[in-house]
Amino acid sequence: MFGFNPNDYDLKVELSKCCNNIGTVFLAQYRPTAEYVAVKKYRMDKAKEENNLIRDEILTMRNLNHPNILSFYTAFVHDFEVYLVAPLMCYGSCKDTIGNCFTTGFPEIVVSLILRDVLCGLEYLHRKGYIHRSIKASHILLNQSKAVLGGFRSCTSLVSHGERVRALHNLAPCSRKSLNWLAPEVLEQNLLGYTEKSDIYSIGITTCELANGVEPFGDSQTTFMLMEKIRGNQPTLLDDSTCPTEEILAQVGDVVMGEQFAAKAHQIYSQRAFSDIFHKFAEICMARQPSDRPTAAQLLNHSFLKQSKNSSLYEQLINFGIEIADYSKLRDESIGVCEELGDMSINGNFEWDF
Amino acid sequence: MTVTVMEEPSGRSRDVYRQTQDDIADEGEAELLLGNPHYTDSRHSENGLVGESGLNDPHSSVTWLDDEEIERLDFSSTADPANMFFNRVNSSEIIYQAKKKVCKMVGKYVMGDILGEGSYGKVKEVLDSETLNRRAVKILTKRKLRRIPNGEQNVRREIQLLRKLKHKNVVELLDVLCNEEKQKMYLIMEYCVGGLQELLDHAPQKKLPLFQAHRYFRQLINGLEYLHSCGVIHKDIKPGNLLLTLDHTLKISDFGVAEQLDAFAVDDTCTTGQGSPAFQPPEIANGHESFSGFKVDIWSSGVTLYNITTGLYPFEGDNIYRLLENIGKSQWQAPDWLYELDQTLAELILGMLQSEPMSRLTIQQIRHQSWFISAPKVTGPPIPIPPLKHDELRCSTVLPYLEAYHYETEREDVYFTEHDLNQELARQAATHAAQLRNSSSSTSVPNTKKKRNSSSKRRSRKSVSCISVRKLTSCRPS
Repeated sequence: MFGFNPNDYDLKVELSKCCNNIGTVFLAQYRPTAEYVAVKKYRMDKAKEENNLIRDEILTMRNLNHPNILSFYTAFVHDFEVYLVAPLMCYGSCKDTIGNCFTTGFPEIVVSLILRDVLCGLEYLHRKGYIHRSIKASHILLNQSKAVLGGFRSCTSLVSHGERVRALHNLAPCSRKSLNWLAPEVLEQNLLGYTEKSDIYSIGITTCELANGVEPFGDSQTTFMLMEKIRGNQPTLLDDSTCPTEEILAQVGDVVMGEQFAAKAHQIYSQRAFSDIFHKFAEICMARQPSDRPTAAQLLNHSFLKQSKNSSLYEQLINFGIEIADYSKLRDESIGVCEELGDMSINGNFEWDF
Repeated sequence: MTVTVMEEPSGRSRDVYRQTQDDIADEGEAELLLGNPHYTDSRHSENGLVGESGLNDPHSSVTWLDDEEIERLDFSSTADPANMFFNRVNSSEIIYQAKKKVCKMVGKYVMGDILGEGSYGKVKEVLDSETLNRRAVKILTKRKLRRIPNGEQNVRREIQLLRKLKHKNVVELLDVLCNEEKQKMYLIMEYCVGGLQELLDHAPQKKLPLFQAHRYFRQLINGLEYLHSCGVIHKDIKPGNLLLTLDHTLKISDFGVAEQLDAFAVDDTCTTGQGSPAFQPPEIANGHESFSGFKVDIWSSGVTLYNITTGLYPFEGDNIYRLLENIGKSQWQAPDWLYELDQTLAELILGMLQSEPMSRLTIQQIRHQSWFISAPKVTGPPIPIPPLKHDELRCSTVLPYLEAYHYETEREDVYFTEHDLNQELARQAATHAAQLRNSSSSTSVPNTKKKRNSSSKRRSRKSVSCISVRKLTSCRPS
């Protein structure tokens, strides 16, 4: 139902960059049906090692079919570019939404709604023998009704050559930006290796990220983060019981959020209280030993997720006053110009006049 | 426990020793080295016993040397056995300094322990501080390279060669760093946990089960096919040069004697062979002036396959000349017991060990051999990668250095005597034994306790994630 002609896609706004700036995500309108979609364009001439990863991402996504896994309509090649046409997730990633509306983190009920969706998708993924390897807020996409898991470039199958391997040992290529979310056994790279339980650890770190609004270990040296994880130290959900003093937060704040924000954040953190079950949920996900972590299926029965039973993401987002943009008014003029220039050179109608 | 110190009759002891904490833990004994006179301290007491003066002022009695300085020591001047005798020293008089693990960086890489040592230099483990990937670094020093004929030229060629190779079964060179001041060169490579030779050394009868050997052999052929397609002849294929990663991916390594064919060469004719004698083909053993390069690698792979499946070598000899004579003399015959073990395997090895290079199998023919095609039945657990310094998991050896760097910056230098150490070790052994006894009697109790505590524990715990911001001050990039 979606064609292969790039001219059918009216690119309106650049939404984000991805994959070392090789990929760009646009809000676009499919001209034949006037439907709004997301178009991801990869400049393959710029890609080197990422080449295979982009191909594998599309192949992996093609094998998956679940309401909480990011799907795509079509993918095609045009000139140097690979186009990936996907359903539009109107709020973007959870990280975008945190930056736009929830700088100190999502409310507990919203976190539980998001995580329920993500865990449904993850349970499916694990059942199919895949490990995601880069679960984080920027890889969870939101629209009015649900959260979906995306970012499959690091995703890999435990089944290779018709055999299911017991464990993996190597870091995913290009995992540099996801290191803070990775489980200690993944980072250790020893003979034990890691399994799909490492995704559960990443769920724990993501839980902290969603609730606190800041990336855990965001301010620490990479090697310090490694040692902390190996020692079994976990980040925590920041509320009245765990929030560090204002001075400490301000120290951190200089690096991450700016001084003014730190003071405000401390006030918010120290005045809110997360439920005990929420703390326990994050804690068990980040257990040092993979065997102590529950599976995705077991987590779906965790009582923390029960509180969102009679609610929906749509209802809660409206409740917190998050509005949906009106697409028809959005247009970034510069994109149109670029496209036209591109057309001229392609059609060959344009000649320099000396 | 007593330790003897070698001493000269004049009464001035030439004592130079080094000791690190982990050396003590590993070997439980001191490593005393006899030194060159100019390394000893001039203020040294005249009675000659290491310990007596050392107890009062450890700094004045000994000279602390690092690994490289010890290497450089020249023992020849003091190696006159007639002028030396042994002396007893009380264990309480031997003093150790607990050496701090000093975190050292080369570029963005944090240095770890030594993995191995070759003629060109050391190989150490490192950690990429940006991507946290484990890597290995080959450290080349100009001083050592000069001792080897064509050393510098060979290294330059090896780097050029490795740079353009990229295959799953060929060890990858990731980065090259130079330090002009120290006259050192660092080749950053993929991390391998060990080699096939190491595996064989720890295997019963020095051989691998057939199914395991099959997995490695297939990868060897894949890697070799790639190398040959790039016009590269390895010339030194043997178990010692076949490394394994954590997930048992085989990596062909050590391109020290490899040859790159000219881009316009009509065939794979080579004129020099410098590999290990036991793996050399008859044409090199007989000293032919020119020979097919590809077939050299096929022969050595055949010897390798025979070696890893049987623990034996097809040709042996009392010395290198006898060995080469035997290789060059006659066509190898597969023994009857090999046919009984696995007929298809015997046929494959026989095909690869043909004296006449023309009748030796090509890579494509090897791929069509029935032993290559069908995997032998899995007969049991594979031979595991042997532990390194009692570590069965082969955890990164960089971690203790990072531990010291991030958590122990304020610690003072610690001195202790061997006597103290022995007592401490005995105490640790006793508590360990006591723990073992306790754990067997009470298994289920701590579990319930832990659960009840967990919520209160959380409340009291510091949030560790986002506190200290520390800069890399003690790690000097060198």
